[in-house]
Amino acid sequence: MSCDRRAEVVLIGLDGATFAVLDPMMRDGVMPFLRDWSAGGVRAVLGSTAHPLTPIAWTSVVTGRHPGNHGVFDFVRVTTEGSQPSYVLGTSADVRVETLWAIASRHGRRVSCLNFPCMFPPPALNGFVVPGFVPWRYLSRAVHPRDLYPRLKRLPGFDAKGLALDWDIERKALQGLPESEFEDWIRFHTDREAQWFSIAQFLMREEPCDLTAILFDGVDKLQHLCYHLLDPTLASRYTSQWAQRVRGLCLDYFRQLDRFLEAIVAAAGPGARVFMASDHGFRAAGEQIFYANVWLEQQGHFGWRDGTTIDHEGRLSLDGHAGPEAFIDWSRTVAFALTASSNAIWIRRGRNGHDGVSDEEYPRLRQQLIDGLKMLTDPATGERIVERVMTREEAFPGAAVDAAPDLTLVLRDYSFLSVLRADAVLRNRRLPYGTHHPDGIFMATGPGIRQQAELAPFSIVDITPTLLYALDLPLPSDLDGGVTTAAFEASWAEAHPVRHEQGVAAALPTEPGAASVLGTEGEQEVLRRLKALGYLD
Amino acid sequence: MMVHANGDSHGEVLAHVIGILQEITADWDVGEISADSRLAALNLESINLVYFIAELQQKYALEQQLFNRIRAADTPLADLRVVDVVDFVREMRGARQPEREEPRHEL
Repeated sequence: MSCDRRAEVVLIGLDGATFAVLDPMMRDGVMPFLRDWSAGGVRAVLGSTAHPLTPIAWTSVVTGRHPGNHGVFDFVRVTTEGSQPSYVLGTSADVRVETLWAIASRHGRRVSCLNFPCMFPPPALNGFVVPGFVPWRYLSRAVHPRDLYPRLKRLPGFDAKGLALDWDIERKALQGLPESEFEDWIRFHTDREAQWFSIAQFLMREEPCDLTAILFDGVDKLQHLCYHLLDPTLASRYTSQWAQRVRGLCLDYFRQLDRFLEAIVAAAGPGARVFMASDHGFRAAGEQIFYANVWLEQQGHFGWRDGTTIDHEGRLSLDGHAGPEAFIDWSRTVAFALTASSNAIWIRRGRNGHDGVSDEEYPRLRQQLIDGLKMLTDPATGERIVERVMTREEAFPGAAVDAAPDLTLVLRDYSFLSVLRADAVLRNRRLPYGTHHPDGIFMATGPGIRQQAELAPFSIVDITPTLLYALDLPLPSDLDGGVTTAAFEASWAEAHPVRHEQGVAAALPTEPGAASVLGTEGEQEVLRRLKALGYLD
Repeated sequence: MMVHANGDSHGEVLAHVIGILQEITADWDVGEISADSRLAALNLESINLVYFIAELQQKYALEQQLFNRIRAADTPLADLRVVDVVDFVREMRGARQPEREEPRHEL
């Protein structure tokens, strides 16, 4: 069904985009559309979450809430209750507050949401959802409404395997690929991006929405492996034929992205306000990997499971789907790093009869870990390895703080730690690697938006209120962010005062994951099972 | 078969669960899926099983209860039988609706 409706607001997400890469691309003619388009609007550095990680940061972008309130702290949801800590892949049930799309839907606006994380199972929005991070076998059940999928399958070039995310491939790639596999990897993401663009183009043409949002995540994927070839301050050091060929393919990716951006902006029409944002920026990681659990073992807080192999390959985590029980001896562990992506250390609490530190011991152990991490230095240079250690209250204040990791580390080079076993706390990285940086990007153009203006940096939690404002919708009263009024012409802002919903908060009525959701009967059953298993007296 | 008004009788939940599993395994032969089929026998990567549970949680308005219940059972997800999942769903549905007025019938 086609109609005359046009998007009022478009959000284009560029995962991991940084001006350090985009500005040279624009200057050198790789992205001419972005150069000309952005010159007609505003731009700013967009500050990410305390730990700049994709699911955490995008959820802040699309909820206007800090992680301590939206409840997403990693790709996985960690459960520390029970006999042994464990984790499960995050889903939309982990998001404790309303999203931008839900708020707009509630006000009768039609929305489309393509490739964003934490959107499966898809909420029943007034519009269309194709979640990101969904395995291809589940894709047909992942879209909303369900009858959208057969229509997508009829799009030219549609390939579910190419569109969806293969976690095994992604995990392997992020550990470092052999040179021979780089070209296929870049082409894979270039083709994958084309499929997402095709879906966006189809929906904008056939099912136009008031709010259209699409996330291109290939920027992040390419930069993890090829940042050293993309940042011009580094790229000149890599002159081999292979490096030139790989850089050329990366530039082709960005040329294609530029064409997609141009087509999306054209499809939205001159009356639309178009916003581009990233969840975090990027930079080159340093040459060394911090093996957090090795350090914790040295401090007497961690035990390796018998037979855990020593990593000699500069990996950050195990391949495959092995859980923490594959390398952690829980009988000798009270503090541990579970995932590389979180840069976090958890402390095992001795509650409900489980092993772990008592509530009385907890503050002392936590402070001991903080002090030790701050004193940890590179023996070769004397430089501190951990730039900053944040407690959960510092990193993730809010209603969901109890679900956050106990400590979140900012390493000296912003890189991710390794959870694996090594023969030293620091080991050299095998290959150049790109890592996340808190400084992302923001750009916007459209009616009422200032032209040729560079704004002061602001936070990603300001994106949702700003988009609601651009949609002329009132804001829920409990958003953490505010409208970036500096992005709008003074006369327009004056004529459009920020409105708030009366008595409406963006928090959902219940908190997913909270122990109390089991209900009395369910809790009794869990307790009965735990007792039967010997975990409770 | 007694049918519950809200769609969470054993037979209805079982049919729904098998329907999902049939759809996501449709592209290859895993044989007939029955109540006694083990999830591991369906040749699904673990991420698909996680999404399967997440979908059931949404369908039956269970928030995170199904994941919590499976974890409390201390059995790897892949080792569960289809009927185990069905039982957990029904158990959690019962736990959430103590105030319901309709009489509940056992099969």
